Amino acid sequence: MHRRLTFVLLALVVVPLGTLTWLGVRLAQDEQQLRNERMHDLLAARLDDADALAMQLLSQRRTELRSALVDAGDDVAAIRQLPRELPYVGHTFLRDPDGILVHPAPSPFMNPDDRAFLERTRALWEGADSLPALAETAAAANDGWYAWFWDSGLRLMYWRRTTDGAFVGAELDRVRLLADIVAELPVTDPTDPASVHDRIVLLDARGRPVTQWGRHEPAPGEPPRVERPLGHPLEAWQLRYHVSPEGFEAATSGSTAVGLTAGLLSLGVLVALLGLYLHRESSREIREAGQRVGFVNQVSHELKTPLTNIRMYAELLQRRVEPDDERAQRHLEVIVSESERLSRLIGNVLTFARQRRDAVVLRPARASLDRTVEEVLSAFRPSLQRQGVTLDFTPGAPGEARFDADVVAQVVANLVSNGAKYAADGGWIGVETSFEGGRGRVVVSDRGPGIPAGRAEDVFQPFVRLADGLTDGATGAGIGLALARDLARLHGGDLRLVAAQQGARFAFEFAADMEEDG
Amino acid sequence: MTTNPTQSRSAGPWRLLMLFVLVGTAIALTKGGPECANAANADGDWEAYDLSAEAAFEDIDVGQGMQLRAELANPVVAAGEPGRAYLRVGLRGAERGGERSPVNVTFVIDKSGSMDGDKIEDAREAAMMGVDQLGDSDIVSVVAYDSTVSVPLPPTRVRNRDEIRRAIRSIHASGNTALFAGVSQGASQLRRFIDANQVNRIILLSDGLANVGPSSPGELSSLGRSLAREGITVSTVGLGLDYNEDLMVQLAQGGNGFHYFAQESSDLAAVFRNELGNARSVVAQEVTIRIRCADGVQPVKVHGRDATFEDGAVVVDLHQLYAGFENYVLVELELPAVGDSLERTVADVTATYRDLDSERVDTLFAGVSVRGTRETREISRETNGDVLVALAEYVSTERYRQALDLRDAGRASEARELLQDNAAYLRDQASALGADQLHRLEDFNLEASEQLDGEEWLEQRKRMRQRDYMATQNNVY
Repeated sequence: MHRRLTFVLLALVVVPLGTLTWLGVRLAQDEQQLRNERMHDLLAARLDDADALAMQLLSQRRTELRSALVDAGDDVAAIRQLPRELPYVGHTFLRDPDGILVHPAPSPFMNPDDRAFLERTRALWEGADSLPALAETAAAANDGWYAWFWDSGLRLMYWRRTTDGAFVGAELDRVRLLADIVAELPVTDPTDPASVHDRIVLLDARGRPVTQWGRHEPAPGEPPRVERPLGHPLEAWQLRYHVSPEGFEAATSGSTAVGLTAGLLSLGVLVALLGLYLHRESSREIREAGQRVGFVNQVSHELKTPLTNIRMYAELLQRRVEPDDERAQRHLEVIVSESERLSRLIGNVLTFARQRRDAVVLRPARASLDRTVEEVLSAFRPSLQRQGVTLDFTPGAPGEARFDADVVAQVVANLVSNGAKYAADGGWIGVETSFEGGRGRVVVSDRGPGIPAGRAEDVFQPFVRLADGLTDGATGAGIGLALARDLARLHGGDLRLVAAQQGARFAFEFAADMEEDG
Repeated sequence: MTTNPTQSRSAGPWRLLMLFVLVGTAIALTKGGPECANAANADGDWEAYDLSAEAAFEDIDVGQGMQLRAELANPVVAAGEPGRAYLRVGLRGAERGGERSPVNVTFVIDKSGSMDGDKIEDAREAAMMGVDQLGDSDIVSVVAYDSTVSVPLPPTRVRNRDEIRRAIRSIHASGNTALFAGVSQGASQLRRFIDANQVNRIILLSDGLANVGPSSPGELSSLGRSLAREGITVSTVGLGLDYNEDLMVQLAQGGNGFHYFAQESSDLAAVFRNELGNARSVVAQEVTIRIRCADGVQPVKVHGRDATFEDGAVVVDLHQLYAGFENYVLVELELPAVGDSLERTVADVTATYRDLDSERVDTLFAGVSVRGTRETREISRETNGDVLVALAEYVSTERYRQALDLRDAGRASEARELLQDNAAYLRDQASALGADQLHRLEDFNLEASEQLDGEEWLEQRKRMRQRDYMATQNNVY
């Protein structure tokens, strides 16, 4: 009983704690994912910032070049002079509305620079990707960037279409553009402790690093956490964000584990305290029940002696009274049978208390089951008769066997007494005995209201009475069946409620080949 | 022949003295033969490039202005015969006594793993000593790079010396070499206080290869050119024997700065001191020479320098001029026939520059003409020795570079032969023209011819690259 309660209480603590741990871990996982996503967003935002710096540079260049080319108009000298004025310009061109290159004009005596420019810009004037084709599709825009590859490097040309259909353009010096973007992008700050974990790399169109910052040195093949291309027209370039595993760990784990542990710990303490409280409460109840038993026990002892006297004197009186005086005989019978019932009750209480306090010792002896049962039943007959209850005994175990007749008698008495108490309305109690394979069997049936299926086990609990307070007239302390089952089990058997068409049907089995007590 | 009216002495003693000092100290760089030991300046080999050395200009009138000279090798030519002509246009920086130009300098320091130990310590020390050279109102910044770039010292006035020292001391070596990004970022630091009237200079120190970012000599050269157009000079210092001299030279060439080969990190102090001294002795920037040829005169080639041809004019950017120091351009021309006793204009020469003293853009003009004659003796009598010396310097420098290319191609014996021929050519020219400075070049060729193999070659190649470059820039090996 006590151990079970401990188990229940332990389960009460462990199960919710386990559930909460599981939920907590799930929550932490979700949280971790959220943090990872947030980290990803943060890294992506930093790359966006870097991209914005590069884009800002290009947009500044575009503004400067637009105004420079507008100022230059179709003045070839001014257009040619532009790289001197704007050091980031590598070369310029002017193409008149008829599609003829005015600068640099192809001739056998060209500067090597001009020649190289014509060579690498040939693609600008031919094919579907040509600059005029681009200008046609970008109808709204009369200027923009033209990006193309030459000599495995990305080249950028700012172009502008004048109102009369001429094209002017300024090619950015490739290396200078790289240098300027590098200069715009952040540098490593050795004094910033966070920079130990970061490395951002800008890769050119061929995947070669152009510049990088942050002190984390990625292992070869370490994939970036986040990557993105630069904005137009530098889409061929890529920004990659590497974060050291430790840095990523530190940035994303944070307080989740600590918080979870702390939460679970405090919850565990709370549940344990609750369990402890419940345990103490139930122990108190058990103690109180024990005290109740003790009290009943004491009272029973006090009652036993006067009751014995009452019964003895009533029996003496029965012999003295004239047999003809029926009224007096009947009154005396009531006194005797009631005092017998009271003795049984007291006997039950005392056995129950004794069994709780220390083990009941069986005293098996050779005896006849039928005779033992008949003796019990004969004591019930007069009162049952008065209640109008037919007692139907079907003996089936006439031979002798070895068992504790007192224990068997007490169980049977309790069963019959129980039937008389709760099923008197059925007007019938049947008792059958049988003996088979060294086991005695007594079945007590009634035709009362029966026991609801769900409460079959409850009737065997001490101090439990079904329909407590509703079953008027029922007497007893509610320990009869509990005691009967304990005794049956003690006797190597069991007491079970078995299925019946009507009323309750108790089957009492016990071992009947027990060794005689030495 | 007509020269700039301000030109008073065509080959005055100042010039000879200057050449003597420059060549003499330059030869000391070789740390070679015992005959050079006497020429070594007491302050160290690096005086060779200290254009600010006052001693070199002791007898010069302080305050002499900028001078433009345009001379033909043969101002008198055979009448009625078209032919080749060599035009030497020289521009000399004004003398200023002890006065210095304001400087905005960025040290770009390689702090990759290979710099660990003495190298980085000496570099730090050298940089701090270099800063001591500067004036209080000058601006200095420090960019350091390994795999990535950091800015230990943003642009700071030199008067905050403690702050500068602290920043320089914080540089420790580790990692890879993001040279390109380092220079880009150095330029960005300079730009924050860029001013056309001050000297804007990047000094790059590296002992290794560039392995993060663009790293071909061509790309670095292109970066240097672009920065030079903006008025930023890039000087490079190669330390030890492991750096890529082609890359470092090309970057300096594009950036119009100096290139130094410091074999030991203990040389760095002198290198930085002299480089910063040079920076402070810049008297003019944005220097451009325009040679507009007369009708019928065809420019054929500009020797040793980048030039563009615009509307019949040859344009050469010299970028900077140092006090008392002459830079020149040698142009090969095709002349039409000139009649006997007739004078014909060959070209008009214009030099524009921003004077750092007056903070104004000034222009100098010079005209060049040629006269026809039937007197062969007159032709040789009027021959201009300076131009012929320049030509000899140019020709020998071209051969010197050819020899380097041959050696690079694994043809060491051909290279040796060429260097020996070159030495012989210089010896002949030196005695024919009475130009002692050519003997120094002869020695360089001989020395190189003996060090084309084994361990010595690694060192010699760096030296050859440097001398070749310095020759094209400053007309001295």
